Amino acid sequence: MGRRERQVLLGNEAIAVGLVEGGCQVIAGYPGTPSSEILPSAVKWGKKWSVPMYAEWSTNEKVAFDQAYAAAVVGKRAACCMKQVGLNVACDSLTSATYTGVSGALVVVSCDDPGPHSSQTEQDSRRMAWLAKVPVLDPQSPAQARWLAREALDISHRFSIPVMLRSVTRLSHARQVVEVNGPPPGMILPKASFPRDPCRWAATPRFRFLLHAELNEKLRKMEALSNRYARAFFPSSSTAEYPLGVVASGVPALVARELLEERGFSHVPFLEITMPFPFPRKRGAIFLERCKVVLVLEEPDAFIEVHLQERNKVWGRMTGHVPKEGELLPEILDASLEKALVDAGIKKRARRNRRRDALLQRAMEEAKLPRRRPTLCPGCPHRASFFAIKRAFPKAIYPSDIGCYTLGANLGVVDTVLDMGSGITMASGLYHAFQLDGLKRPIVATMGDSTFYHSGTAALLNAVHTGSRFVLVILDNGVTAMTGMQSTPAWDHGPDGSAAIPIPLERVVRGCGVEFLAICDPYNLEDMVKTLKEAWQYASSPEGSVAVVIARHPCLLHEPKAREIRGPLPKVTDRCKGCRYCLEQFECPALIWDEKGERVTISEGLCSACGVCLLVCPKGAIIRGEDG
Amino acid sequence: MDILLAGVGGQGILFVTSLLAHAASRRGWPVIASETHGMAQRGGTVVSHLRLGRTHVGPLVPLGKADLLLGLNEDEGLRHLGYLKKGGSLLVEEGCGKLGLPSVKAYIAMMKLKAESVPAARKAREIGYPLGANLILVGKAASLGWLPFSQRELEGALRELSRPNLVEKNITSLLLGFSSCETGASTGPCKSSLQS
Repeated sequence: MGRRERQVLLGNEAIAVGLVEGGCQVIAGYPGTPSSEILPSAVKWGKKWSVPMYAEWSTNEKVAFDQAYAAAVVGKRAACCMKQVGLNVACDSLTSATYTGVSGALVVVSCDDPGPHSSQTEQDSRRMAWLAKVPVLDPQSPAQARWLAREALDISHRFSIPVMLRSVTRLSHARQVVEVNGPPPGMILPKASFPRDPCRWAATPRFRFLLHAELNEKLRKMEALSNRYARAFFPSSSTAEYPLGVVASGVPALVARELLEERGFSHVPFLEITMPFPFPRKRGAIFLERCKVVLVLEEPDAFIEVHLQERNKVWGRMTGHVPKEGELLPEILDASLEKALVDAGIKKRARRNRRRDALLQRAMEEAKLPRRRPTLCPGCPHRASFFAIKRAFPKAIYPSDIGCYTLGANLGVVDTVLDMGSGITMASGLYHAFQLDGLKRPIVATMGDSTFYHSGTAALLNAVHTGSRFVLVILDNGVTAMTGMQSTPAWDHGPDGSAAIPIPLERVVRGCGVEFLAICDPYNLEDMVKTLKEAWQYASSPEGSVAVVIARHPCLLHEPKAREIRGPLPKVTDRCKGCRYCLEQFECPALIWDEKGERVTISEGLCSACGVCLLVCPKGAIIRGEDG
Repeated sequence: MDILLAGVGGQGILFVTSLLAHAASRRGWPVIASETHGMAQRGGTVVSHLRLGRTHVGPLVPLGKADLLLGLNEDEGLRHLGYLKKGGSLLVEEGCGKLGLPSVKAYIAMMKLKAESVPAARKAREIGYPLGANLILVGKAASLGWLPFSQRELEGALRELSRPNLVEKNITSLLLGFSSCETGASTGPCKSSLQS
């Protein structure tokens, strides 16, 4: 067992430490920024402290939830981790699991992404917890998250209910000095045993009604806990009414206290809420009673704000004191505090230093800072695939999906991105909608390999079954790349290195009823263009159906060695006429515009030697180094 | 002490964040930092916020409060100029000398900033280890007295964090920042980048 030590840990690592210290033995998840580091870190600490654990990257979040839930049903302590939109995928299970409860412990870690930095929505997992009637803990810092992860396991076990630990990007990806103790000496890990109880684990609606009452009773009892977690601060014991109080939770609570202190307003009454659901009604009511108004600071949406009872005393997102969207960066929180302090009459409006702001803006303009947008890496096989698709079907509709390849939007080959799996469902839906009017438009859908395993199969089955006609390109780089190189079901090992049974993509595709399946290497552009055209020919022929092309080439970040075998770096010859075609249509970061020479050069530091640009240049001006 | 590190993906900003956090933690200081991960990392701006020796503060440095801004890339350094407090310190990769632009100079003067640039990328290439540019910058900042750590402390932290095969290269880069790195004169900016 471990000994006391202090380490600088990422918020996600701190959560993992707390889970393992709390006796978590089963952990499942699907990678998604900002949640991805929790699972591998739990594996690491479990190994270090010799805690027998089972860990898996599941095919999707619903599967992950169910894996952990099953373990918790038989008495184990378990956790599943996902990002907020992943929680949507697991929601069906989540809402049902609160009714049945668990016998061991189940912690659902859901990471929100105010901003958003890497997500399609700014949704608030606490609202999902409310919908599913799951108690939720909302830590402020990595150190507190580690402690609350352990608490969450204990609470889950004590009340036989799944508990959500809600994180946000600025917590998951914050680093802090955290105490790491390891599991307590002599920790007893429960043996799996199945308490057969069909009225619970297989409850019919009549029993569901009873379970619902049981759930509500659990939540009522837990309110005492949430009241105990809530910490109110008043500058004095005076019973006089304060002109303004601040209610906050999560990272904004930490930042708001810092800002109030900085401004010399640390005497403003402050209520910190650590467990927003079930809502600490008593603490909230007492705090409100002593303040004329309160400002609520929380992320990413209004939750505490809607739970505070005296609506006319509450300022927040619904009253315009806090922006309704975007991350609560310190300067934005500061502006909200400023507005509240002024509106409450305790402070005069501060004057902005306009001269400084104007000069800063002028400096920025003069420096002509380049606009940077995220882009695919040099040598990324997806870039080659997108280029081939564009060349084969310049006028198609391009539904796409979630992953690195969403950045294909830069190349004009991503028209829609709805959610995981929508590349296929959108393609199928678009086909049927156009078909109604007798219109035939080429539709080329793209989806990554991991996304396909995650939620492509149900979509593809449906598309084939309903007679849709489109080309699906599965961008198979062999890894869940965007989130940091996690495994897919095509791998022969899991996150802890134990053996796994690889299930090749093509077998799954064939199993969905697909007749046309071709595999190509996108680095071989001409071949891929030809294959794509054949695929569409099949899809649009009378006896055709969905055609699938697997564009297979490993992610270069994941298999950097591949670079050494590709040969010498390409170079640009004098044949380059500066037409900028490669820059605009291929957008490789290693292709640099040389202003003086009015032509393109290749950055040796960035180039991966993939050689695809040789095939892209319309003038044939790029050649392999040795050829020159 | 509040530090902001700015650059682009692939420059090793996360490594420098870990290094400084680790050095502070070895001293027993509280540390909280914030990093950029995920999609934003793919070729976009990468920023780390680092708060050393402070308790009960959030993970982000508020605008106008940073003591030190390290720009691993000149443009990204300048982009985050507003984070520096009055009298703060600015150290950027030399780039094309944009620190010498009249309005940038005027802002630096108005805010009483201490500003320096270093040809870290060139120095790193010269020793055949381009990835070491970030550490050259760290060494330089420390030698200017802008970081609260001694050479020995940084070396110790770096040894503990580096992959075994890179320890010596990393140490060499760090020490290069301490010793031989002349500070770039703030001359006029080069034309090509201004037109891009």
